[in-house]
Amino acid sequence: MIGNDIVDFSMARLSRCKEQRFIDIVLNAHEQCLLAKSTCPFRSFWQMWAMKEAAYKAYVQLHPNRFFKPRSFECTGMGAHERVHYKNFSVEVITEIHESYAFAQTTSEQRITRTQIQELSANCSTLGQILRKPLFYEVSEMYGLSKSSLKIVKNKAGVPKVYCGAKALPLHISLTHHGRFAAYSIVEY
Amino acid sequence: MNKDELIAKLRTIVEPYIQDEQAFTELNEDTDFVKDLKINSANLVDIILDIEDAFDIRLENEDMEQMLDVKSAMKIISSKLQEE
Repeated sequence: MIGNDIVDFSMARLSRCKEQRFIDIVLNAHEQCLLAKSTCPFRSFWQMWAMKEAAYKAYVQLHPNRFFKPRSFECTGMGAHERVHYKNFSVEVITEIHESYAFAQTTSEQRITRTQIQELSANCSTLGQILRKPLFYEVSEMYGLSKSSLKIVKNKAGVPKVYCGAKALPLHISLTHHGRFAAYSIVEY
Repeated sequence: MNKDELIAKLRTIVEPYIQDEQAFTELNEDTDFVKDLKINSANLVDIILDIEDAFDIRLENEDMEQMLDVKSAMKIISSKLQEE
């Protein structure tokens, strides 16, 4: 399993994350304490958001049912390596904070994870269109397959898989797009 | 409030956040906020707050859990309105 999430700071609304009702939907009491101590609450808020989203996407790969419960995914802290818990599920999440974006990705005990973050010239395409080309290039190199034989299929829970013809490749992938940034993460199993 | 009025009000609420015009034009009970309208998940929080304000209701964490499509949103809003 793998989950990732990117937040473009220029698209994330400052006003909203100052609004207590908005914060209450997303953060639990412990996380709100972390936020109160932060020197940059705006970035900290969206960092925790990205961590929760990344963990949710990984969780849904194991339990393919969609739901929306951001507050129930609990961040232990706001470091670069932190665990996120949900019920009996727990995953380590690595976060990178850049000038323009926050990127979070679950770690894996499986094989090498490959990630690519892209800056887009215009935010007009759908996520699939943006990431299909670099992702298919990478996967075709990994398996010696033709790019034109690859496709992304999402299951009922919205989890994407790479297929070569009718056959699913042994990869977990996660895709994310926000504003000017998009990223994919791949892990083999 | 009947079904059509409810859908009409929901249309206005979700409009600022949609990223698929075609799906928005065809919005109906079966429309999914994420899969069809391509609304990003941070905007789902905005939609929840906008629904609370527009219908003058308060949604609990468990109400939000299934708030991923028009049908579920309508069901939750209707049940909240009946409680009042």
